[in-house]
Amino acid sequence: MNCQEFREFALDGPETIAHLQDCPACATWRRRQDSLIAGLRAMAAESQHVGAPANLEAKLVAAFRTHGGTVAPIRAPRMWAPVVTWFAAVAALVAVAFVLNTQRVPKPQQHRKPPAIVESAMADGDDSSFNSADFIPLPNAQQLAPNEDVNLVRVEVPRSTMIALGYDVSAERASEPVEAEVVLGPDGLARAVRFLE
Amino acid sequence: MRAQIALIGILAVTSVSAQGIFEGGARFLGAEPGRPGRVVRNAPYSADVVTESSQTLPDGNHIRQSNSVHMVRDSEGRTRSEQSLRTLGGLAPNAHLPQVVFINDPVTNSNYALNTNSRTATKSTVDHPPMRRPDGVFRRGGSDVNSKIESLGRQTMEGLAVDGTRTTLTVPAGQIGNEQPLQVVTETWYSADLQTVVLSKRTDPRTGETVTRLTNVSRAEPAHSLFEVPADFKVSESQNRPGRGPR
Repeated sequence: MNCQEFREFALDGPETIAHLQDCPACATWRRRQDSLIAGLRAMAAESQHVGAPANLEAKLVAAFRTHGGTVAPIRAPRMWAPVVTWFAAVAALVAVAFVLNTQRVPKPQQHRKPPAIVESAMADGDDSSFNSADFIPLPNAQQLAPNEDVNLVRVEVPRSTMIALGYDVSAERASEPVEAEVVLGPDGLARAVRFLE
Repeated sequence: MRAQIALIGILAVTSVSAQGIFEGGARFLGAEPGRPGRVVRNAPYSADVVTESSQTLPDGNHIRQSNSVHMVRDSEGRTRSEQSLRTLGGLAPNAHLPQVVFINDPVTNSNYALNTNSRTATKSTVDHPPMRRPDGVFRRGGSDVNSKIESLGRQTMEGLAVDGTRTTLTVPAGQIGNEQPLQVVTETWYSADLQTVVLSKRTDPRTGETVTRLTNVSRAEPAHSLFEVPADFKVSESQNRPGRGPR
């Protein structure tokens, strides 16, 4: 018997006793369990004399019959209505703000692949190491010469930006933000982009 | 009750606005130095690199855009470029993106991207790699049977002797569904002293005309401090991974 089996099926028996002798951790756990059980039983014994008043049942039955067999819903006093309304409104706003904030804050990206352009720089010898599928040349943008400086900026743009580049974006999500990396040429003009979601 | 509704509405708008939904369509997240280009030593200069593009639409409408970068290079080959991101090629219209500065220091093999608004910098240390020629974003070398290269002779621009070259690329009829051949003409004026292009002009019937020129050229040795991160900037290591640029 192992510890898991002991704690799931802690029945008294030769195997259990043997395990308790071999495992101090389970022995301690067993002592705590026994102590808890004993405490609960003592509390139950002390509460035996506590009971509902003898006429409570009769009162409840009479009240039930008075209302025609239906129990009227308990209404909060009207003075509480504004408080409840305000509380609900504030809770809703907090929830909306939380959801929006969760969507907008960039997630940690430690496990993401390096930018393709850097990946290309770190690779050696193979022209195909640049994943051209990652970066999309911008319409009307000049191609870069191999020996030109390139830099990257990251921005968050509406998804509708992707439509102009041939992506299929639903109208419902057009205004949602999407993170993009933009390649800048030495003249500072944007040359290519890739979207990170 | 009306007061309650009005106040709830105000709170809702305030909450949503605080999230930046209505900020104008784009938000700057960071900048990162990318791949440095060829290192040019012993040819210091500073200049404004101004790019202007214009396009005439079939209905007579015009689209004009301009962009400017202040470029500095010292004798050791360090470079610094300061630029406003503007609309990022139409990706971020109406956005208020910050000015960024990119510093490439081949002496220490360190590159920096500075966000002048937040006073932060991202440092990356990248060995200068062998050059790549990937598809799409970068030009492929070699001759093209449809291109013609001709010399335009020598001129003086911005006080510099420059050699002109015209490259005419012909897109044959039918290649992209075009009824007639298209011609894309690129003129470049190259300064051997600066080892850089002083003027380039590209005319493409599909996209209009784009002119990039160096102006306000100075060949004085720039101050070394221009290639250092200001002391009050908070510098973080890029480690060549995204998501760690200056915020």
